[in-house]
Amino acid sequence: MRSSDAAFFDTLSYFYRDCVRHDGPHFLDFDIRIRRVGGLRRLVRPQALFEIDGLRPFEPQPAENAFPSYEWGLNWCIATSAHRYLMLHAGTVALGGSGMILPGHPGSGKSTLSAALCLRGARLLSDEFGLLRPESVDLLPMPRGIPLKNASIEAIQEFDGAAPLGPTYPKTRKGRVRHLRPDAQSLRQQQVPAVPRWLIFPKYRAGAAESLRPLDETDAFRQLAYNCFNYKLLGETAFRTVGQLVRQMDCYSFTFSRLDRAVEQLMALAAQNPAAAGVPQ
Amino acid sequence: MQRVWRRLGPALIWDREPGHGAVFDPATGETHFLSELPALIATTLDDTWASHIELVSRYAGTVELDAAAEAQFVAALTSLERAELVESRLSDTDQGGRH
Amino acid sequence: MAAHNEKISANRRKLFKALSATPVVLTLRPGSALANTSIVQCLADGFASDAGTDDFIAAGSTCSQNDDCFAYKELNYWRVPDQDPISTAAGSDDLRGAVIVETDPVAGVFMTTEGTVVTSRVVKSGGALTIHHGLTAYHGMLSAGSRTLSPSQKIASDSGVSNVDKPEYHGMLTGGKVQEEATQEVETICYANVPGSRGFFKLYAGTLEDPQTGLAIAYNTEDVLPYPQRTLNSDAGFQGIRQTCLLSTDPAAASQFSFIKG
Repeated sequence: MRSSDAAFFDTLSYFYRDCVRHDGPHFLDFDIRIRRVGGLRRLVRPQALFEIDGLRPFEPQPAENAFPSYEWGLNWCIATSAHRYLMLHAGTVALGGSGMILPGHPGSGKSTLSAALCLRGARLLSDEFGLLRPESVDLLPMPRGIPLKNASIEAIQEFDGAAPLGPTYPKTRKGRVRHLRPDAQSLRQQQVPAVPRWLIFPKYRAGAAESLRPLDETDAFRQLAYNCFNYKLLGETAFRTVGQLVRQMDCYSFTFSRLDRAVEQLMALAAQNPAAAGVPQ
Repeated sequence: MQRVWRRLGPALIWDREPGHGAVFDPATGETHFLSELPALIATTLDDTWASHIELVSRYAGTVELDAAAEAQFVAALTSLERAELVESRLSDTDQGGRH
Repeated sequence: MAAHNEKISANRRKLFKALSATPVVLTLRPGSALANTSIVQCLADGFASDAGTDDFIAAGSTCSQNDDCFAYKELNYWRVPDQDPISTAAGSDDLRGAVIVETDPVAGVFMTTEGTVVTSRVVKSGGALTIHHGLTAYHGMLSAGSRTLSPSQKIASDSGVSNVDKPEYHGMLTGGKVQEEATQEVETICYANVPGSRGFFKLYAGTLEDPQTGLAIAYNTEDVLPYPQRTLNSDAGFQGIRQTCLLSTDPAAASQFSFIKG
């Protein structure tokens, strides 16, 4: 990551100061640059550009949105290139050594739930990508800031008044966004995979009572495949991996409205499994 | 003239045992979910042309199906064809039943 | 030989059991494009698009990224009165009190919000509504004062109702509230995706959903799986969305929809 934008680097440091840094020669996954657009734009409504390997796949964004642009741009880089892995559109957390996968489309509550679980001691693997190695079917961590949008921001603040949140970006294309900083433990354990154990399809529905319903394998398969970024691309590998996943996991549909009750219920579910040693109570 | 059916192409890959659950078609890269009747038919078809009556017989021996049941069986074959899992054509049968 | 005969007998039993249910072949349509849209929407100018897909916006309409854009289609529904003078086919289940939404005669799939498909075919012919032989269907019962429907038990085959064209039994669900029999209001909103389009529609349609099981009415061809629901420009959640709605895979279906800005 390269940039001459001091404000952007301040924000980056706030979120990732606990990351391991590599100095010296090493392989790069992505060579990213955030830079200011030149000319008059430096003075009038300044803009920031996301560049990957010298290419500019996106329109410039307001300069004050450099950090969320970086985060979303990095998501795009991963989604379009990391096809070595099965990629699920899912929040993923680890409880003990066991992984919980929360697939869902925007608005399902997966990011908010992932954030809340992490605030109660779960290890963040990812809020957006469930990355799985097909040969071992283990979940790989990629902990980053969790972007909370609009009402989710207040929901997390109400859930945990001490939640470490970054700056508010009021005018993104997704509305108002604020990121939850990943905890130090999650960042330090980036190399430690988790064994998928629970598959939970969350559905936020205002006013609804919490309802955790087991899913049969066919429904779970279909919905999991549906939420896979690269299912068609990986073909038979994806088919077999998804099949194996739904067989080894307990699969549920989960409707919720209250975050505190939702987290309580999911933690209780995890605590029933003796393999999830170290599940916070 | 009657309609005959076959499946030409690589074997289907079933998520669990043949005839159950999700199935992957290597020929198209598609994943399908079949209910019981199309699943059972999919495991019976091979690369030789066969009428629906012959398929019934192949699977379950000598069986009398009423008109509604036959229509149901053909409907299942039609659904499989729409999903490009099987193909069909019209055929004249000779006395030996070859198509 | 004995083993072979046993296998054939077993197969015979399986065959007859399988023949009692409607054959279903569903093809998975992974939502990878939709998932990627979630990411790119944050950064792209306008909507994410795949090469070759059609613009979802109806010809002549405009929708900027700051608008909430809706398309709607009015649907027929029939409320079967609790009492006579509805006649019911002899031997069929009692449909009195049920609300049945019109479905395309070719399509018509009942689906839970989790995507479990329950095939059905409700067909209106003349003054009669019929749920076809051999199919399993669910219908909903409107609760007094409630905005949702609770499903009754499954309907068996050959259920039918006549005389449903009478004005007092027939209504149109639109975007607003429909008042029926003074005590029951139905608020009807759903979201859907037009396959091949770049965006999502908020559809005004029949609202039939059980809070317990999430049973819903959907429009679908047999081999299309549910698309997720969302507004075009916001991730604010799905308050008010009560069901999964699907459009026909026929691109021309878009022409059946009116287009409004909300």
